[in-house]
Amino acid sequence: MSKKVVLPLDDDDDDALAKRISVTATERGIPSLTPAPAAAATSGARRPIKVEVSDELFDALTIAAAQQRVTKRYLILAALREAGYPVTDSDFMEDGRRLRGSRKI
Amino acid sequence: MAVITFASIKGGVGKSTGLLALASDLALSESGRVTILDADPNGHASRIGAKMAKRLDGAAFTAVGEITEANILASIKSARAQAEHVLVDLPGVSSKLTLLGLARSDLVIIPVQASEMDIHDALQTVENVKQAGEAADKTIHACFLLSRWPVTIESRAAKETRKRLSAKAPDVAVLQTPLMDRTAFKEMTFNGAPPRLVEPGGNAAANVSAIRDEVLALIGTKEAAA
Repeated sequence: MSKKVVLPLDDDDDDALAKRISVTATERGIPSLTPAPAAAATSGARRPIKVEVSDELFDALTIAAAQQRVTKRYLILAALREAGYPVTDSDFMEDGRRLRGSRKI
Repeated sequence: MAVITFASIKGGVGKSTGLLALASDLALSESGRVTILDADPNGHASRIGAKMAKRLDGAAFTAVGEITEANILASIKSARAQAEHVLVDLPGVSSKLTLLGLARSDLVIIPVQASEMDIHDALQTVENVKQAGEAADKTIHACFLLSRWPVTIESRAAKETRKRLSAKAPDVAVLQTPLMDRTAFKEMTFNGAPPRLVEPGGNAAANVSAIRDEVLALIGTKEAAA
């Protein structure tokens, strides 16, 4: 029976490190600076929609958006998708903000 | 061989200035080839580094820009194989690119100006260093570099900054020599001329050389411990 050869751990493996850093970044809410590729347009032309809401709802959305570090638009679209409306990932467009520090989960 | 990274999740703390000053001093010390890798999307280190390379005619000095998430690991590996000192300028924000750069560093230098905001973000940067170290399964050594430090009298804010850094991050050394707030460093950003070339016996040149000695001593200590 041959003796098992113990190979040294490769601390120079860039692919393995890149994967582990990706996991760490995702877990900690640390963003990528590389812009995501533009999603393919699925619903043709886009239209604006304007809704007037109460001060109470506006304030609640403002607080929730700040806490989650997203936009009010994101919250509204997410709620519509949750309710079963046809909101696709391409509707959640990046707003270009950069996060400072790690997002606390 | 050694990868020295300048990092802070706060912009405008003196990362690029400190990096260019140290890189040029290492090149003029004839201690081997020096390569700058500029991973900051602003591209200041590579832009001014290109001017610096012309000033350092004959010296073994290269500045490479457009370092991204996609190429930073390969760029560091390639630079390490060719240069004695690789200095990496990271973006002034916590990002995946920041973690990748930190993970391949032998020493991380975190510039800190005399302000509460700088201290706060420097400590957050230390957290990023630890996170990168966990992902890379190694201890990444870091130190604070007091930046744009008052030349004459150390202000209350400056003293408080030293005190808080030592209290809140006792395991991260504060370099004894601050990067002073000197005109020569500002002029270097215009003409790419390092202080040691402009006025070899001047205060700014002496300032950078003292920082270089401390950094090399830290790297030597870490290498000996490894």
